[in-house]
Formats: sequence, C-alpha cells, structure tokens
Amino acid sequence: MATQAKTLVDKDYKYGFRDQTDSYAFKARKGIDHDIVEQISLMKKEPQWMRDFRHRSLDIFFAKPLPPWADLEALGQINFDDIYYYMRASDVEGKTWEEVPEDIKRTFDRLGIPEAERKFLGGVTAQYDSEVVYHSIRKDLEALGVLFGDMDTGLREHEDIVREHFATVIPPADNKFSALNSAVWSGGSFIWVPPGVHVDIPLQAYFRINAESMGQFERTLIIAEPGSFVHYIEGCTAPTYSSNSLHSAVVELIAKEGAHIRYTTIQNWYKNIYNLVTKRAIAHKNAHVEWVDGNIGSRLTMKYPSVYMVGEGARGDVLSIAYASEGMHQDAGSKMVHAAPNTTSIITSKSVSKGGGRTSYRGLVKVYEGCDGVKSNVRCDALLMDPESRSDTYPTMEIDAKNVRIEHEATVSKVGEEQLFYVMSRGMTEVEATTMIVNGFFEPFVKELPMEYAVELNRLIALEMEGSVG
Amino acid sequence: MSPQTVDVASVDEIPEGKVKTVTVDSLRIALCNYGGNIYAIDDICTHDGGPLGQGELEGKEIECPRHGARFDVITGQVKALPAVRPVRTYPVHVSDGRIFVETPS
Amino acid sequence: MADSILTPQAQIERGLIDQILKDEPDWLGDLRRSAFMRYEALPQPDEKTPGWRRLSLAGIDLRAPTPVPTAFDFWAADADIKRGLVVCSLVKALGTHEDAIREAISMEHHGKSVGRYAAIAEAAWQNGIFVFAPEGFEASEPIRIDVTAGTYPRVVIVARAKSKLTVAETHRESERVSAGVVDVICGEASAVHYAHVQDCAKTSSVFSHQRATMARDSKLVSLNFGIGGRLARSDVEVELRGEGAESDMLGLIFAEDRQEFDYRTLQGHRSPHTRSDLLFKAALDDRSHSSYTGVIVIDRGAQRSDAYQANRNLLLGEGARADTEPMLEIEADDVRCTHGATVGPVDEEQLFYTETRGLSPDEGARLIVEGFFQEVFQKFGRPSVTEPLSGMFAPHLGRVGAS
Repeated sequence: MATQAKTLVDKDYKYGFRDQTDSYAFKARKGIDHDIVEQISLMKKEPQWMRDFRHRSLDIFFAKPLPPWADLEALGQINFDDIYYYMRASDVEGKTWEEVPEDIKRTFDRLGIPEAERKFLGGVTAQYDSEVVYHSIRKDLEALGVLFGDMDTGLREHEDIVREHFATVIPPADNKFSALNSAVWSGGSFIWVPPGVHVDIPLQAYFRINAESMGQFERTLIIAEPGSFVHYIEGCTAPTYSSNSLHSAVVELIAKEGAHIRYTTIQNWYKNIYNLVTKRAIAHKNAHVEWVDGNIGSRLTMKYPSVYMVGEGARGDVLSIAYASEGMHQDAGSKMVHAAPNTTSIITSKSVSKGGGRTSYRGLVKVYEGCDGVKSNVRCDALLMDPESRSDTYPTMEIDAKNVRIEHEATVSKVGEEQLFYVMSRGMTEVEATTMIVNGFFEPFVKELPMEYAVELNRLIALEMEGSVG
Repeated sequence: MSPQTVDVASVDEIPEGKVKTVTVDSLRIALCNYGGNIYAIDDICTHDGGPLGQGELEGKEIECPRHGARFDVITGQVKALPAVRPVRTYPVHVSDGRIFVETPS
Repeated sequence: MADSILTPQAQIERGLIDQILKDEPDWLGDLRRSAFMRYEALPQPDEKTPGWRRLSLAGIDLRAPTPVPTAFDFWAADADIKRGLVVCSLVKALGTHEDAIREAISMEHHGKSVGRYAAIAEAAWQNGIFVFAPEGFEASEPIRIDVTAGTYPRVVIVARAKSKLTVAETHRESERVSAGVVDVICGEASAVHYAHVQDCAKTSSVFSHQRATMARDSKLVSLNFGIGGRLARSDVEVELRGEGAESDMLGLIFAEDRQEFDYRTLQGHRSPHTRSDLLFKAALDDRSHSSYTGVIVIDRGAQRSDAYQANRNLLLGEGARADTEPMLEIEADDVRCTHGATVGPVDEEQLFYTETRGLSPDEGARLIVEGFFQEVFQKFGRPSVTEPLSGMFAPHLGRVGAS
C-alpha cells in the first residue's frame, strides 16, 4: 500500500540541494514560473511523476484563457504576478495582529471567538492548536483502517493510492484555475475509507490546520471504497482573513459502488479574497454524493460543486446557500451529469443579496443518450433585500434521453411586506423580524449542519441583518 | 455494408509515444503508438468534441487538450473525467511497414 | 432560375442592395446599408458558434440567399378596411405611412435578435407586409396573412393608441433559407393578438426575428406555432417600455423526424408595474431536437413588476432531445419573478388515468398530447385562429403512440 517516497534523495537536482526544508533558504516571492513550481515540489520531497505533473499543469495554466462567461469585471482585477503562490509556516508568522482589518476583529468580538482561534483566523498564527483533539480522533480512525491526513503526507505515505486516483476527476486542463492548482497545490486533505466502513464522526479540516492547508491552493482527495460512508467538513462560519487574495482549491471525491460521501463547506472569506474552486465527484453504481455548500464571504466566489453519475442508481445532491453583501459576488451553482440510467439529482440553491451584493446561479443538468429512468429536480430561490442588489440565474438542461423526469424552478423576490408585518406584529423589531425571515429562508441548509456551526451561522446572519436595517 | 480496410500511413511516421491524425472518408482517426504497437481511436473527444489527436500520449492513455479527459487507447475506456462515454476504437493491422485501419463503411 | 448564392464579394452584394434602394427614401437606404454592414461583420454560424453547439447542421447549406420578394395573400373584413385598417405591401405603404414605418423600424433593440440573419433580412427585404390600425380602431375580424414565397419577409404591424386587432401570419414558403423580421408596435392602451405560424417546407432553414415594443398600458398576446422547416430558429423579444404594459407569450412546437427547433425569448421589463407571462411548449417525436433559451430581464427601475416563464418539453420519440436554459437577470428588488422548465415523456399517471377510462394506451397518449397543446390554444383565446392550427398537427398526432 504505502511506498515511501525515496525517489528524491538520490536525484540530481537542478538547484543542487537534496535535503530537508530547513537547510534550504527558500525565499517566498511573488509571481509564478517553473522555478517556483520546481522548488515547491522539491521541498515537499515529491516523486518525479508529481513534479512532472506540476510542470505540465503550469504550462496549461499559461495557455488557458479566463472563462468568457464569468464576471470578468471582478476576475480581470486579479494580477497574477502580484501574488505569493507558496508560503511556508514560518513566512506566515511574520504577520502582526495590527494588520488584521478592524471589522473582522469586531465580528470576532460579537461572535465570541476564543483568543487562540482569532489569531489563527486572522492569519497571524500558522498553527491552530487543536493537536490534542486531532490525535485522539486519529487513533479511532486507525482502528477502522481509515486514512485521514493532509494531502502532502498522503502523497508521501500512500503514493500508490494517490497516484491511481489523483486528477482522474479534475484533470489540470479542465479550466484555468484547476491548472493553477495542479501546478502549485499545497495542503488540503487526503481521506481513504476502506470497504464497508462507516465513519460516524464528521472529519473536519479544522483539526489539523496549518497555514498552508488553510490556504490558497488546497488539494483534497477523498476516496470512499465500496459500501463505505464518510462526512467531511471544511471551513468555518467565522470570517477568515488572508493577505493572499487568490484562493483556488480543487476537491475530488470518488464514491465507489454503494459508497456515500457528504462534503460540507462553509466559506466566509474576507472581502479581499477571490475564491475560485473546482469541486467534483464521481459516483459509481448506487453511490451517493452530497455537497452541502455555504458561501457567505469573499469578493468573488466561483464554485459549482458537481456530481458525475456514471453507475446505475447513483445519486447526487447539492444543497447550497449564498449570501452577498456590498462589493461581493457569489457565483455558484452545480453540474449534474447523468451518464447512467436510473440516477437521481436534486439541487436546492438559496441566495440572499443585500446592499448591492450580487448572487448568480449557474447550473447544468445533462442526461446522456440511453439513460432512462433519470430524475432531476432543481430549485433555486433568491431573496433581494433592497433595490441595490442583484440576482441572476443561468440554468441549462441538455436532455438526450426520453424516459426521464426533469424539473427546474426558480424564483426571485424580496422579503414580503405581509410576511414582515405579520412577524413584527408579534412584537419584534424590524431587524429581528428580518433576521428571522432570512434564517427561515436558509433553514433547509442550516439544519444539515453540525450544531456548533448552525448556532454560529445564525448569529452571523443576525449581525448582517443588523448592519442592513436601520 | 461491409467494413473496409484502408492504408492510412507508414509505421515510420509515428514514433513511440506519438500520435498522428488521419482521415478515412469522413472519419477523423488518431493513430497512437504505445509500446511499439499502433492503436486507432476517434479523433473526437466524447466530452465536448475536442481534438484527441492533438493531445499528449502518456503510456497507453491519451489526454484531450481541451478539458483533460483521458482514454485508454487500446480499449477506448474513459480514464479521467469530464468524459463519461468511451471513445470508439478501430482494429489496426500492420503489414510491410504500412498501417491499415478497419472502418465500418 | 438557379438559386444563386450571395458571394462574399462586397461589390456584387452592395450592387444588389443599391438596386433595391433606388425608389426608397434616404433614411431607409441608410438603415439597409448599416444592416448590411452588420451582416458583413458577422461570421457564418456553424456548430462551433456559441449557442449553435447542440444543433445538428450536417448537410444544411446556411448561406444567405439572393433576395426574392415576399409574396403573400391576406384577408381582412371589408368593413374594417373601409374604416381605416391598412393591410398592404410595406414598400407601397411608404407612400402613405412613411412616418409610422420609419418610427417602427428605426427602434433600437436590446435583445439578441441582431444576428447575421436578422441583419441580411433588414438589408435585403423586398415588398414586405404592413398592417396599420389607426387610433381607437377596433377590428371586427382577425386579419389573416399567408406568406407563400420570398426569402426575407419583413413585417411591420402598428397598433395606434387604444386600437384592438388580431393578426395571424402564416408562413408556407419553401425557400432553401429564409430570414424574416417582424416589428410589432403597441401604442398606448392598445390590445394586440399576434400569431406567427411557421409551416414551411421540411427542407427549409427558417430564421425568424420578432420584436414587440409596448407602450403604457398596452396588452400583447402572442403565439409562436412551429411545425415546419428542417431547421427553425426564432428570436422572440418583448420590450415592456411603458408602465402597466402586459405581455403573454405563448409558443408551441411539434417536431418529428430530424427537425431542429431553436427558440430564444426575451421578456424585457424596462418600466415599473409591468407584467409578462411566458409559456413555451414543445412535443418532440422521432429524433427531433428543440432548444429553448429564455431570458427575463428586470431593469433597476422596473419596480413592482411580475414576470413568469415556463418551458415544457414532452418527449415522444426515443431519440428526441430537449435543451432548456431559462435565465433571470434581476436588478430591481420589489418584483415577483418565477421560471420553471420540465422535460419528460407522457406522464405515466396521466396515461393510467386514460386507460381506466377505457382508452387504449395509444389513444390515451394522443389525448394527453392534444391536451398539452390545447392549454396553449386556450390561453391565446382566438378560436378562429387556433382551430386551423389544431387541424395542422392532427395528422402528426396520428403517429403518436404510448411507448
């Protein structure tokens, strides 16, 4: 199973070094080129095939254009040469608490975030001190035979498994940002669940975070062998600051026959961040993949969690919420590809725009020829809180099989006056009433979250509504 | 309609690990040299019509340059998304240094 | 005469335009020339062109044809004509209604009906059709127009304030390619019913661009019925420019063999208190294909507007395919906006119900498909117009079966 990656030690390197990170004076610098990619790979002591993969991906990144259908006004503002593409833990620690924006600090206060967490979320410390919790969970997992760690370690200790599955769901050439991630990825999670094993506790990225993996170019790979189940959670509701403004993650999920994967994300990046993510799952026969996706931060998020159903009886679900306030654009959606008969997909998308924020839903439901018995239901609801805000929906359906049932419905509206009046007549202020209505609007999503996230999310919404009303 | 076998290229034109596209009637076919053997597949990716013949051949897998889908050139099976349907393969005979591809008429 | 194709040689094509312009006012010549420049600037579409990817274009020659003047018959009540209703060739009407025509065809359009085929139609149309209802005029009978030949049918319908009329325009041309443009101008508080029926030869490629501009408190109920052509592409746009305007857009397609239907609609809300409701249905047999793209745009200032859009696709043949892309671009918040789309075969539950009523599965299926269409005809509400349409798809209905 695990092959120790000894390849690096004996090779003849371009830069003439061959041992650990500490003895190499890597200087973090801006911009991306083959030198940086080479250094990243060497510092991580990666096998040659991964190094070659990174270099090839960089060439693809340079060759691909920005997607023409996207919000180019926002995307066009990214200066690719003005970004750090790799920073080690020690580079991060150079930051001070003073640099963290005031409004984030205020929100930390209001939400009651503990001191240690604040420093981490503010990008001031590199490590979150939850080592103790993480270790005890690790022992339980080891007993089950489950592998759970960061992606770098996964590659080193379980090279065969990784090599078999890596980039089979999202190849580098898929889009410009998956190419970038493929070239400079660092951190992210690696999870492998043996056949028939049910992991009862949700695995959280939070347990083993460090600056790299909280970061910019996470690469996550989750493999659920036949009949297994795992629930993975990433992100947090508290606002998170990073001075690196470009985040481009890739998440690949592989659900083999009869397996079930649930992937929950809550993203609340500060509004300087461009969050461009490629998330995709492949579901084999009778497998089930669920994406539970919450987007409440960032300047621009582009994220379309997808499920490719390639085995009969497979199922894909996406439950997503998006919240956009001033200067924010949540461009989210989903892609459901039915490539086998009797597969089912359900997409539920709820978005709220306020203060000039913009939410977009972009979706695709595709049914290949010969796939009878497919059922797909898409429901998108958008709430506009004021005249400055905007909502767009661009769903597409391409149906090439006859005995299927495809339904799509979307609505856009504002908080109803009658609804508001009714709730306020129960003695609430307008802020409280609006909060309750928005919470109710997001309820199908919130009730799928573990309790501590749900509580925090509701508090956050209350804060946001306070800002918007009166 | 009976299948036809067409002489499409010389073996020398396709070194190991390389790909050459040929046209037979209205079919565009990519000839791939893996391990010294020639394999023939449709030049059109089943995902979005990309030009497979212009892709990289890594071992026995060819990668479509458009979105990275990969296919096994021997069996036509999909090895990486976003393609989901296998690519069509054609029987190949090599004789006297010439490559012959069998296509349905 | 052999169907001679317009060559890319600008002089020859321009020479053709200049000939048409000889007896026309300067402003019209300018419009034709600028339309022609737009045509020249756009490339010939093929499967790689955005929005054309899913169409099967093999073996179809889509090059713009030489202009052939529009030939049509029409029927209107004598009494209506005596009271001031005008139905005649557009070119002839330049003599009597130049201002109205100028206003109608000089409108600026926000929508997507500015493609290559609309451009050449606007440049090279000959003869054309003009319908004019003066202020306060109420037509006693629907006006029927039958277009029998011509490559670039150019139609202008002007309904002055408070007028009421129904126009049914049927196309039975058998040109290799035809491209038409229809402008409907709805004056204040007017009420217009417009049916556009496409029953062209099954070998034709038909491009249609229909634009309606609605003034305050006007009402427009439009129906697009498509059953002919090998490839039929329609852009149907309604601009609700005046407060209180209301538009009901209805569409019905019955496709079989390898027919391709591509419909794009736009519900443009530019003023407050406007309402639009769209229902486009397609029944697809054999290996036919339909593609529907519908946009609802609500401008920032168009508060208190309501917009609805529904696209329903019934798959009858094993190889039938349906694409649907309903889109919303909403910039006003005090609005109500819903859209929905469905794709599927004859509903099993409904079929079961007809069987319990003693019908064979095939009879049941036919009844359900007929019901599928009748909903649209009922919403249009002009039986003398819709009954012939029921007649038109009846023979195709005979082929519908339960499996």
